Amino acid sequence: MKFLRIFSTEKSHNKALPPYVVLVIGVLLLLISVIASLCFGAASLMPSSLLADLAGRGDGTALRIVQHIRLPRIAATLLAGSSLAVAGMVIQSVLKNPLASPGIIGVNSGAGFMATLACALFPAQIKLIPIAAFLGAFITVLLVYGIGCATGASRITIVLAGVAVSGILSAGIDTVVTIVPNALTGSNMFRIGGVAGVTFSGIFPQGYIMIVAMAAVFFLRNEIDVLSLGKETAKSLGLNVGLYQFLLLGLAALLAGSAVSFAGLISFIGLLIPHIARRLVGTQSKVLIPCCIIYGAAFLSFCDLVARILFAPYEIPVGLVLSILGGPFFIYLLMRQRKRGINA
Amino acid sequence: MLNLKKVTGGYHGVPVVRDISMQFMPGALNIIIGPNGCGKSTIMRIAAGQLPPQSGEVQLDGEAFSTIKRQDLARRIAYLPQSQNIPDIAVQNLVMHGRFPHLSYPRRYRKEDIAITKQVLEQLGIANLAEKQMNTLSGGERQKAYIAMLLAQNGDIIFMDEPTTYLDISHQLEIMEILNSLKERGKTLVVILHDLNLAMRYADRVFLMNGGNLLYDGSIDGLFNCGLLDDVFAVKTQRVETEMGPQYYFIPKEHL
Repeated sequence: MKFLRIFSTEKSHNKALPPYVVLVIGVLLLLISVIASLCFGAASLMPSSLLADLAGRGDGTALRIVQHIRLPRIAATLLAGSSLAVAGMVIQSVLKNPLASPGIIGVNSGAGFMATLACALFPAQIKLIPIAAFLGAFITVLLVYGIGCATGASRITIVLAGVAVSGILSAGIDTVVTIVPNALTGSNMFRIGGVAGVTFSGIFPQGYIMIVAMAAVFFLRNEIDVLSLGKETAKSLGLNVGLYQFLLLGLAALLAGSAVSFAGLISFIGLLIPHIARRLVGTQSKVLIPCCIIYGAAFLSFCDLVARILFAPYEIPVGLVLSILGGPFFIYLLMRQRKRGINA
Repeated sequence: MLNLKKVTGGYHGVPVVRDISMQFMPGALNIIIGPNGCGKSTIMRIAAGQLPPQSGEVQLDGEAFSTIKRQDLARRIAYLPQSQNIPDIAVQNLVMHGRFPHLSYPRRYRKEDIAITKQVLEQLGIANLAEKQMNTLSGGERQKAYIAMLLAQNGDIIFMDEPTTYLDISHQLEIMEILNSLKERGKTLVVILHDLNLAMRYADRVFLMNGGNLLYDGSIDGLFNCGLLDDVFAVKTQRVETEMGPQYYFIPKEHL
């Protein structure tokens, strides 16, 4: 399997495949995953019955399932997967920390806490949730960044600060849910992360914001590259370091907050995908960002497919699938970092 | 022409260097020496526009730094910090980022930037490293890649904070020879050196700092004659006339 072999190449500079091939493979995987997601689930649909419905010859069941259940769900996984991957890549570049990700440093729990709080305090104002989620994500990312700066910004400090902040905020979510049990309908699904029952009206308008934010990150690709040379070098090249760090962390918060607002606390994807992408195409943002977008979307939609068909007709939250896959990968990363001795 | 006027500066409101006025010699190799913690790096950060002074002023060709835009400054002044983080990036991409200050929005590298990148890589004899990742290079090669980036930046003034530290002697000399050749092409170089032997061999003008103050500013001859080196570094400086000009070496004080 050629595709599996590229994962096992030892060093990032030893690219087994040219970047465009990696991107094309990603797009193909994405298409396969999307088509499979359309067809499989609690009820399996044959593409032929869907085509028949589209042509007006079927009974319309397949079309209704696709329109109202599967399409919104696919859109949600694609948007959340790509956004969290890009947010993770941006946070890792700006904090210059390979172990940072929206999940690890507490950005997701920050978004989740504020979203839960908004639900508890203003149950009627559903529109507030995305705004609250963004604010929570943004405040958390600045908080963790601030703690990192104040303590000398060693790589491990930022991760530890993030873990602590994340713990506090998760406790905050639990507290709100305990006091106001109705704060989140299906709070389990929210806390593990899942997209079951999502509707188009729940995804948009955040979806547009996510697309714009990803485009903005791509627009700033050269600035990201210069920033990752280190603060001093970036500054000597005339970049307004503080401004761009703030701007990029803001975009990352926008992406992570929006994803959390409809997909819950999905973990690990923001850590996993940028690392895989870096190994596949290297560190140049020009190719790294598209790679994160494509593989993030493909991976989350694939995980959601697994979540739906593994115990069909019952399903498990996609966050569970991700954690089961992502946890071991994170441990592997930690061990590999230690071997290279760069986590101190 | 870069002018520091009564500059005091440091971090978190605590001054590290006090009331320093200095002027670097254009088209020459200016070398700053001094013991650890004397404020060499701080004064360089201020002079390179990286750190705003707490009081006093830095002027570039008569314009105050505070009135020059960040990007314009980066086109005229290049600065290589001491901190050796090793980015995971190909040499040619690193060197290309030297063109960053010359880009206008939306900051996309142009054909001429690629051409300049190729040109400086060849100038420094490292065209063969163009596609190598920085983290696979030796210390000397990495330093040359950084110098190539500074050259692509194409400023008239180049600041370097200890560019030879951690290098073998042959690579130290190679870097110094490169700096010499840059000087001959009209660049003004301001370099912090830890190694007094190298400093004494290559400096056109030397600045001696201690305890946040500038003690001496002038020629190597003058520095030797005034005896300040011996006091500041607690050594005895010896001069030997050779066919390559005067050479200096340093021995412990108590031996004499």
